Amino acid sequence: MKKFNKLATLFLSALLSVTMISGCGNKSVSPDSSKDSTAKEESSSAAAPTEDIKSEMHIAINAAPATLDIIKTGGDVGRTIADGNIFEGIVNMKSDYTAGLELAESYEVNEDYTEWTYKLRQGVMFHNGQEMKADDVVASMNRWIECCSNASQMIGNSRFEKVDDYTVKISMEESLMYLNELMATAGQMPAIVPASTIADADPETGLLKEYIGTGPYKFDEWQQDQYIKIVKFDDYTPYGTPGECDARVGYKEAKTPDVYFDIVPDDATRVAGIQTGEYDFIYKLPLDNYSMFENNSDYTLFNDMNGSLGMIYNKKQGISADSVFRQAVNAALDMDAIMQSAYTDPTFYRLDSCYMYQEQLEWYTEAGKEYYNVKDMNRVKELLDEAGYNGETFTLLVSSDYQEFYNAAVVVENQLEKAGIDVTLLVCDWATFLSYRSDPTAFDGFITSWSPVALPTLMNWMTESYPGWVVDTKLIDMEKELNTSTSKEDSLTNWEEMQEYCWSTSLPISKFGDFSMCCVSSSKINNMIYHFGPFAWNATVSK
Amino acid sequence: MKKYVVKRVLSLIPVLIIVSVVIFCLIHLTPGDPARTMLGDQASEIEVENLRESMGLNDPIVVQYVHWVGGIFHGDFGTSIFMDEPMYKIILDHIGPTISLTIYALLISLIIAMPCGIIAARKRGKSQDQVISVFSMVGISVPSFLLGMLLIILFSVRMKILPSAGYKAIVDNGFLKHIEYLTLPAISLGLMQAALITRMTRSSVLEVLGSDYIKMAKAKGVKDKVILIKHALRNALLPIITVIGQSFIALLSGATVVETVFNIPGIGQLVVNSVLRRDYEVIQAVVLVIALGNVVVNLIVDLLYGLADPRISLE
Repeated sequence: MKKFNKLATLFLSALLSVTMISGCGNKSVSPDSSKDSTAKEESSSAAAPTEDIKSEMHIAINAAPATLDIIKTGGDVGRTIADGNIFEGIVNMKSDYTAGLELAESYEVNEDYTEWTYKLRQGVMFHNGQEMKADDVVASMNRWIECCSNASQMIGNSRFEKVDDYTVKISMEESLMYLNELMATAGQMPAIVPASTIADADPETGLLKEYIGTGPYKFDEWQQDQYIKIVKFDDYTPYGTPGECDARVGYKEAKTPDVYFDIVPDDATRVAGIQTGEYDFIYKLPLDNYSMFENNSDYTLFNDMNGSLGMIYNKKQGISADSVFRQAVNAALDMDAIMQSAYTDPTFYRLDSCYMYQEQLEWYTEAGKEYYNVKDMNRVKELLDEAGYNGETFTLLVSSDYQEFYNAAVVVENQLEKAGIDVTLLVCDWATFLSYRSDPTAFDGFITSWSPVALPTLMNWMTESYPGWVVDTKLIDMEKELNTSTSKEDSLTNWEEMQEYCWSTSLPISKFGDFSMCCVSSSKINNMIYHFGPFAWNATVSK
Repeated sequence: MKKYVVKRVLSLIPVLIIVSVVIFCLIHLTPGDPARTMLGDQASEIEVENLRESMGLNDPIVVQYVHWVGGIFHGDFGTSIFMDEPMYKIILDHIGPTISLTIYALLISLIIAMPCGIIAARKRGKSQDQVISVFSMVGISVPSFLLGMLLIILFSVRMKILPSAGYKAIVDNGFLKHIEYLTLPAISLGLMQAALITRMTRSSVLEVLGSDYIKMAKAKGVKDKVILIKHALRNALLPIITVIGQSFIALLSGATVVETVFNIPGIGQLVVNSVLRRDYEVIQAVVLVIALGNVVVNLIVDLLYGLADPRISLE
């Protein structure tokens, strides 16, 4: 027994020694010690933080973006990192979902909204040391029109032209009153980059090889599967009034020299990381962990409405090509049950029939409300009879990569089965989902979400090209009328009629409700602006 | 010996050919499209089609395979469209953390397992044996990701003595910092392997202790310690080496979950991410490298048999 004890002690000591030696390499890894030493060396050229302010900020994101070329590709994470930090646009989005001037100091538009002229700010420097001029803006904007389906659909064949070194203009065949809103909130950002980087884009993929913008931060390093690092751009010239920044628009200053976007896909790891101080901000808090941070003065919770969830029907072919059948499906849905299964608690969702946000007061309308959240089985039966439904299978496509989408799909399946509609749930990963979704023979409906936009017709599912494929010519004409409207009043009236028509007749989608995305920051972060994600500029992290 | 090694190395060729064909077909027959994933859900069909064309994804699958294999013969394993880096760099960047983690986890498992296995065999049926058996059962039963999360809560969140996640390379941060970040993941991986190796060591040593030559040694009055170390353990090593080799391979290619929990940018995470975004070139190259690693480790294990037991001839 003694021998056993000795041996046991020996092995335990050996194990603990390895553990503790490594653990005690630094006196403590609690909050800050593990990160600061390297950061101070790396950021020696950047503005030195004060004694109370850290030189770096760690923001944990849930996924790595495919690229930071956010002109070519959309995606929330890429925009969170690059939009406003690295890249700026002629205009950008303010907190009230309207457009504010960013790289333009003024603009003029003719009476019928066919010719827009932008006067650019002078002395704006790119991260490579060049001054931003009209040639760069023209190259960037025209690339964006070609890459962004919303832009190419609304702008058509028109392109930006140089007037002089600091003025650009675009002349269009049809009116476009909402050009600024289009640029500010389109899925792909019209970021202004040097014309030379566009010329040097990868010939195979067409993606930018260098991420050079005009923002307060410049791209520094991308360690695959670890982090993306941006550092202060010393030659950045802020615009606007110091202290006044409305979402992405206004006075911006890189007060924290080095910002790391740590790529942490595992939810539990992000949560543990903010508790240990590894991260100063975590993106996409699992809703189950919300109460852990609620009413805790060490953290700040962000729980703003962030998007809408719904089911997009395949209007091109199959069983749901019949609008009466779509009406039957919609009449069977209990939106509260669906949203609750996806987002667990009304703290994180709200029921609303308007496709636009309640906060976008001028666009908000209750038109068509009576068709939302009906849950009327008699009506379902009538509509199914009218549609001549004969037990055909409704294939509902959903990606398992988004747990909330999947949860919603399971409830939808259950509700439709109860209503007498045969449903097959097609569950797959995101890459497969994207492929199936582009094939009109593969599905009858799919679950997805969309972000708030400044203009109703910017919602992708309104377009003819987006999966689901709007084929209703009346709806297409209404969209065109709204896009080319030259009066605000007319466009608001158009929108009200359009939403009514969508809910009552065309039904391209069934909107379930709006949802929020939760994020948490350490209380050591000061002055952070949050609007669909965290903005690094102007924010500091106390030691 | 040389002849044996050459023979084994040559046997690699058909293995790698079969692996390459299987993985190539498997990936390319799976639904999903790197071009579509790359460009995001708002890309137009024309853009997706253009990218597919320029990536050669519209070519017949046989043509794509020939291109890929042809590239390998020229030292080109392809380029990841997502990472925009040569394949050798991507693999080197990601295999470092995995090898470090594997070696550290294996060390932990050996430090625990070898003595525990020997003690359990020596004290067969007694309380020490039962305690060790219970712990090895627990070790095998508890999934490494669960253990990892519990360790994070205890050592990182509560005690704040070890980091919860991340990776620091030796080159940039020094050995201690490197080990500090790997300790919790290595323990969560190592304990399960320790349980397996403990059980194998116990049964192997037990078998040897019951053999005639051990009885003879005892009859001759050889001390217990000498019998155990010099005679029993050495003869019991063959199955133990096999299990250690298997553990190494399992850790090398199967640390994916632990890498995800502890956010270690290892080969497991690379494969998972590449599969999710259909980064064909990366998946193909990494699977080939893992297959190669597998064969090499098995070769080393076979060579160690000869060292552990001179009766085994490798000629």
